[in-house]
Amino acid sequence: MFGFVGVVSRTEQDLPAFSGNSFKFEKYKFHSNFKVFPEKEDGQTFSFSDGSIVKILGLFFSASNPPKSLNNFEEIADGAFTAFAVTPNGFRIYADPCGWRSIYFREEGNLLYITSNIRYLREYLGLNLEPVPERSIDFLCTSFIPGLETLTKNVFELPMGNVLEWKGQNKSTIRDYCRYDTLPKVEKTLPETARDLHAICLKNTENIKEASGKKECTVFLSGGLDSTCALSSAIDIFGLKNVKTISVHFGSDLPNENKYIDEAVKYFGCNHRYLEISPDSFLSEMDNLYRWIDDPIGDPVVMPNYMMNRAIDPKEQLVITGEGGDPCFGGPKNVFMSNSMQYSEIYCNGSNDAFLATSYLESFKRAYDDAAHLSRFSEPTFGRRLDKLQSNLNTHLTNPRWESFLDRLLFANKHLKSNSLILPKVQKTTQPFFRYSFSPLFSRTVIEFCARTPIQIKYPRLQEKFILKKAFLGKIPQSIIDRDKSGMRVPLRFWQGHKIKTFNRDVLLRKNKTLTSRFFNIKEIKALLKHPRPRQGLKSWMLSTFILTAKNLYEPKS
Amino acid sequence: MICPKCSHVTKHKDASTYRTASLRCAHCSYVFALDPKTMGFGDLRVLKVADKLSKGGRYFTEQQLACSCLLKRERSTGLGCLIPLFGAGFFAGIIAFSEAGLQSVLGILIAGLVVGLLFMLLGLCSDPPKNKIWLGVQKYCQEKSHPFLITPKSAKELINRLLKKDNLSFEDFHPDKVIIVDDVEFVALLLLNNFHRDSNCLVLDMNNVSGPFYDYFVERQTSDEKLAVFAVHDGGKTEETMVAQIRNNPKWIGCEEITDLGLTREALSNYKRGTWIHETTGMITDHKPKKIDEKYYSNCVYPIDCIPADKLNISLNACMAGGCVMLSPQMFAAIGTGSSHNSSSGDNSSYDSGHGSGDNSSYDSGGGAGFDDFG
Repeated sequence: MFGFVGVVSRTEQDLPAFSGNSFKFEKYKFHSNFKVFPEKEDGQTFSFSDGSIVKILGLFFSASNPPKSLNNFEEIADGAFTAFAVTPNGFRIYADPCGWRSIYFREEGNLLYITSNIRYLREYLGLNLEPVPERSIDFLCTSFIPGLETLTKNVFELPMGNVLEWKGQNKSTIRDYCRYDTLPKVEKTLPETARDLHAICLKNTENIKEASGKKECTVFLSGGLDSTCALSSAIDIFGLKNVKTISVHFGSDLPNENKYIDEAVKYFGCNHRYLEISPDSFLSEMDNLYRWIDDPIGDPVVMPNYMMNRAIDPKEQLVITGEGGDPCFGGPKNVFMSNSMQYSEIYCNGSNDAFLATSYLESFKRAYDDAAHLSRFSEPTFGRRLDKLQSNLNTHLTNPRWESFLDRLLFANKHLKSNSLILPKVQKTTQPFFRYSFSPLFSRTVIEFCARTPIQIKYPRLQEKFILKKAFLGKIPQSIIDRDKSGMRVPLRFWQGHKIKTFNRDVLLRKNKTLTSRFFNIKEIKALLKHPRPRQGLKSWMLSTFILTAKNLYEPKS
Repeated sequence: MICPKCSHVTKHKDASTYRTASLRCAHCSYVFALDPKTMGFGDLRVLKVADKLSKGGRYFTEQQLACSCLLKRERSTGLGCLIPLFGAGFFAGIIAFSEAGLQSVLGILIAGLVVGLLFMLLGLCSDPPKNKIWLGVQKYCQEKSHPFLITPKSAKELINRLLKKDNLSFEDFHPDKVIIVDDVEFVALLLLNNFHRDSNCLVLDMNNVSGPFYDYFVERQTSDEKLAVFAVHDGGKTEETMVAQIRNNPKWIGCEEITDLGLTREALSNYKRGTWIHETTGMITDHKPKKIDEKYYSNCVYPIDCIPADKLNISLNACMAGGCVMLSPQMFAAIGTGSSHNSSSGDNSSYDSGHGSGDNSSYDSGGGAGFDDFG
């Protein structure tokens, strides 16, 4: 399953018809109609003794050990799926435990609309899509819109590991069925824990292979620890001859990770390909790409992911990546946060939750510092929206169920960044090519492992990905274990002097000025494009891609 | 006297009354901290500079404020000052020789030219006007303060709050380096401007060898995970002995390989900007590399604080990463203020570029690659 759109009603006559019905789901006075892409996709259906039924679309890991009841389904469900269930009491929609598949929903009267792509609501069901412009403030601060809300009015995103139970008009509840924060800690030795993690990654890779039905895969290799661990697992399960690898670079005159990529390729002996990306190659694809990004994602890494998907052979139907390493095992921005906490006394608001949320926003290194200037909203609207965002963040940052601050931080990152940024990025850049993408480092079993493992074992003294390194010690090149952390670095500022500046100006000012002015301060945008400032390249990119998303959603005919 | 509160212009004689010793605004009764007649400048000048320094929420010290208050015309007799001198002399000469009865137009012009040149020569030979900026700024800070001002007293209070932190646990704390600075205000400046967060660096005051952060430092230096140790200080004769003092102090454990980031005499000899403070006389003077010996002998201090606030963090980072000293050409090269935007000499020796290096990200500001790191 790569996409779907559907509608649920309590009465058959209210159910709107739309073209190309894929399946209907009718029981217990719930009537539904869905279109699935590709249309042949049937998914799996399980019926239980209490009369409830669950239909699962996508990669469901427990197919060989099917659930015995709906409760059991909630206990064991893992993979990248969307599931619908009908019970005597309600219609349920399940988001998978990690958020691999985005689910958006909208309630209107006695109808519940559900989709994997917001624009399908307009394209297939004729719904009018309008933005809530103030939510652009969230985007400026974080480069995405965290939480339930999306940029689109009355359209919400179901959080990872949650189930929406709909009983009819205005009678819906959202519940966390994974409840990671209730899992007790398990004390094991370091070697045992490391072995467990390695076994989980291998099992995940087996599940990916079984659930997808693919015998070959392509690994997106960045030269970093996570993707190399994913490659190691892929080779163990698929076999070396069935694994291809690909990586990007931005030209020989710019710093790159090729040294580490070459070491990994040499170590494993895999079939590797380099893809060079430049503005000449991707600018013409930006409209296509951002047609798939339903809720704004300002991370420039979206682009190289899309370009790699575009470059590989259509026959390569399964992509494996190293997503999940940072939110599960610790990324560099946690250092910023822990330093903030240690020194909180020096700030006048250091003892309250506002400080926690603002430190978190500062750690993103996006446009938080400029948000008040770039936004077209001034006080009190700006302040109100920022307060709401901070409150949303603090729900996770102050979760009292986690004893350790770092556990709170890691799980906040999962719920916020993974759910609305990292995994949608993966899904939306593979979906156009009808391809599956998954990571053995990010599954329910991995998240449960993280929840159960004490901080002192998995992430002692802020040593990044300590337990992951132990798990793959001797299985990947030592140089990659020992290297400094490096994310994929897209040379936007370098490209400012080339075509990107013109592109930004075109998108933001020449072609879409009216749309831009609904969200951002035009005068400040002009200043941003003209005069250097911190993270100028990133901020310009964020704004341009936001407008591309908004244009495709709200002004598709323009 | 212009009131910084209501912008009303009050004459000096109206500002002082027989009832009070202070000067007040005739419109809103704002009490002036400084008397322009004795100090040479007023409250408004200091406040404007303070607001500019604090733009973007940056904290600043008294020394930074004082250095920034030095006007261009007070800095030196550069070209900007000589041209008006020439002009004044030229016109004075024309008028004088016309009055004296010189008939020839050419003669009058030549006379004006000569007098103008004489004025310029006098200007070149004379010292800049004496000022008491340091004393004035201190008085202003004492009486008026500013929300983003760090004074010695507020710095101590801030550090005390930090040292009295309850339940200090270092489980989630793992700096990879330490920087030792020469006064508590600079510690406060770095912490309040988030240097510790951006650089994952412990910040300690050489004069304070107690408290939980110092104890943590000792614990690390006696373990297998020693911190890389750096020191940074103002320029000056006494200041540059800081590293030797640390090495000689047995309390500073594990500092055998301490890297001195400056400010060194050598770096200042090649750097053309900045100011010196003579703390005794209260004068602030422009830095001239050729007169550096004079400054060192007269116990003046070149405050490291006068490095632009938005450049301080990235400069320190660049020096720690690259092993160079502050204000060295290597530092400027590392932070990307390359020759294309520099002073007229075209070398890597200034923050003047104003382009491309205002970023806190080390990837953005160095190497010319222009990366934005997205983690």
